[in-house]
Amino acid sequence: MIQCAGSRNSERPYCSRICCYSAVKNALKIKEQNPGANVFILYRDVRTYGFYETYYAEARKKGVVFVRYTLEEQPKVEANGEKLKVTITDPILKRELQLDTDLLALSTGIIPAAGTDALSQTFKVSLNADGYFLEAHMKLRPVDFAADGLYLCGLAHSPKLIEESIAQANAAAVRAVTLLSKDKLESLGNVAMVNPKWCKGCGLCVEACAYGARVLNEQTRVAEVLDVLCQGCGACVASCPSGACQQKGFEKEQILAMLDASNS
Amino acid sequence: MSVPEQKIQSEFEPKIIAILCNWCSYTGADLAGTARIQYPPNVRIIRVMCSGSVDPLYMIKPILDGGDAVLVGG
Repeated sequence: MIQCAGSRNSERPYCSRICCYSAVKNALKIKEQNPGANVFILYRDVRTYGFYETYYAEARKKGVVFVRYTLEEQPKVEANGEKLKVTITDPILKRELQLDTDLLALSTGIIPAAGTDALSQTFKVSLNADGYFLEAHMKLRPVDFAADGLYLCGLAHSPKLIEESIAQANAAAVRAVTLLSKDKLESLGNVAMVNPKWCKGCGLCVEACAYGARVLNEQTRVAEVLDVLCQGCGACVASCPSGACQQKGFEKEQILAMLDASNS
Repeated sequence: MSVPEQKIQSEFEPKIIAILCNWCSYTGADLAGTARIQYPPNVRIIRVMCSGSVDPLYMIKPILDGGDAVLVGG
């Protein structure tokens, strides 16, 4: 088994978390069914974190051979008749090993689901550098999106073990219940508003809004604010070229009054 | 803009109006407060939700009204 195949390189720098654990589990199963089988796991770093470390120790005890390789010096796979031959330099023996395999398993990394990009654009939620969905805050709001009423869990968020996915799914479900258990939704007071006389209907605010709270009224050609969705970020006010868009609590007169007060 | 001479002679304390973005510089000033870092009271902070929404008028008006500097952070 070759770990980190196509993973943890410049293209996909993240660890897929489940492959080391799966490789060790499969190796133990092979050893259980056929104790005489030679199982080699070629790895860069073994990360069977948490309590799965005991399975890693057990695999070593049962004679599964772990050979380390580096990103610069990767194992080479060649056809050798009907079978595959793997060549690797063992860093401890400092010698080249040639392994004739009956079966070669590549632990390829997990990649974000197809359509993640399109989904993120539809719901206006952000992705991280690896292409997975990004939570609102790693510690304070770990299963929420920045926009209200959207939650994430499992492999949509990042590669993780099934236990972690279940724990995160429970968390996301409970977060959704906190919203559903209320009779009324309280929205912020400092939402944006539009002066329909000045609005030219250019639609820049609709593009600027990260929460889908701005819509262009096709009949009146005036932008409108969906108060419940507005998070009061102020992006639309900044984008408005005609000054039609103001934010409650931050209106021009109010800011000018604050400037006066701070200058006296 | 030249500073009046009598202001230089007496111990000059500038009056600075800082217009700060809620999401970065204002949060930074708040964090400085949380970390108990003191800053001189010459700076008077006005919070806006986005420094992009700062009207040029907000910068000119304090200076016309006798302020010494305007800082826009965002």
